[in-house]
Amino acid sequence: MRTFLVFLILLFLGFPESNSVAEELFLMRVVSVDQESGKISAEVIDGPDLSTNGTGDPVRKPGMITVLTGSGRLPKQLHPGSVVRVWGEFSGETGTFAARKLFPGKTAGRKTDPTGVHRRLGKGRGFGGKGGGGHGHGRK
Amino acid sequence: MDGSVGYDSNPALAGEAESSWFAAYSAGLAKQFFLTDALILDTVLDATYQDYWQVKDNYNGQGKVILSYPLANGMILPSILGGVAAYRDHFLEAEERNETLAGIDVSMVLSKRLTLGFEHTWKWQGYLNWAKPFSGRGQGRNPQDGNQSGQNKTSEPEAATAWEGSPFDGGPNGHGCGGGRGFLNQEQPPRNNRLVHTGLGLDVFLMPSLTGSLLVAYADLDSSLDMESYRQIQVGIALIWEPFEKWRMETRAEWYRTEYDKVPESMTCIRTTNQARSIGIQLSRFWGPVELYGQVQFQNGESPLNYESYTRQVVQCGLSWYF
Repeated sequence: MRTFLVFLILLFLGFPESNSVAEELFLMRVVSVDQESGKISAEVIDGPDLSTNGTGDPVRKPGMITVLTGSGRLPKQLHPGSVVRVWGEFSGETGTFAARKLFPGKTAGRKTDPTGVHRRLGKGRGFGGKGGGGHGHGRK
Repeated sequence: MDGSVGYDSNPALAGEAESSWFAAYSAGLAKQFFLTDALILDTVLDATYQDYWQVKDNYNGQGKVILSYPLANGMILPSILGGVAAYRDHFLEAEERNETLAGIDVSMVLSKRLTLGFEHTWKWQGYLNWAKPFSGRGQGRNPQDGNQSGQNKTSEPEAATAWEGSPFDGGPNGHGCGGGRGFLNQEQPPRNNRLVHTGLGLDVFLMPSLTGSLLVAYADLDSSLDMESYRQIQVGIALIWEPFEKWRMETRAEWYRTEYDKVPESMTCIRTTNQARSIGIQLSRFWGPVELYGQVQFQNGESPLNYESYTRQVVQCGLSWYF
């Protein structure tokens, strides 16, 4: 088991993110959503400073940006007021943000698995929610 | 919707494992309603059927409603939740039960990288069948060890002799399990339990391709059969790694420590403190709404009854369709 964990850690360290250098993480509040085109207008709550002055130093965070995710890639439960995290690349020229990944604020898991049907690992320990079961600690 | 096939080395989590191949089918339905601009109602229905080929099947269904109202401009999302569930198991009939769930859940965005979640739930569990003490999954009793179901309740004369030759047989003086002679082999009425669960989780957004979760939880089971009551702590970690577009690897490890603090001291054949561990890895490949996945899961743990231990490996692959 220990060897296996070490192997996993090495695996994680051994595959550096090829394009992570250019990608930034933003915390945003959704202002409007266009599900069809996969476009969001959002207010930036937290993120790196992106605008630069003549010397290349950051001067401010953009207040409102447009996030492009691609058609059909937006979670259906997204609505104005939702807090989301977005990984992607920001273009200062156009003021748009090309999103690579988008996570609704609540949890990473509920984005794609609201019913819990697809959460398989560890599911053998309980049904109908969290934790163990009734008589014992190893319930299905 | 989800369909999979796999191999389970020990579906009962028993000391003497009986393995089985299986097919599993799940279907889930979720719908969100905006009751007002801010008040959100989530409704969830799902069902699973697990068709074991060498042992008997199990299935469950559940429905849940979650009412949420965002605070602090959406940075804090408190919810109240309620639900019902039913579980049926023809292999371990002692596990069959209906459940009612109520709880609260608060999700707080702490920063762009951290979300903290808190959950407190109450679960009322109504078991359907008579069962001997510690007949549940992973509690040390082999499914073949006598009747599991109340439909075939053991009579008193049978109960008095059923333990003979078993690990609880204390010999002519009957002290093999302290004062528990006979009792552990007598079926007891269907349990009415209350399980209170408190959990704290932290989601960490580390890199575009790597998201982690840490979990600590405490559970307290109040059983109608006192000796089956327990307190449990749980620690877990999960990592989701998406190194390439359309590929995803999830690793999850959990550790449990369960304390059966109401077992009479005289019952020396019951281990009151038990630990269990599990680790699982799942690899998925997505094609639009379709997911092909394979997973491996290892579990081992200690069972209270007669100081048994168990190990389990599950290998499974399947296909999911999101719509």
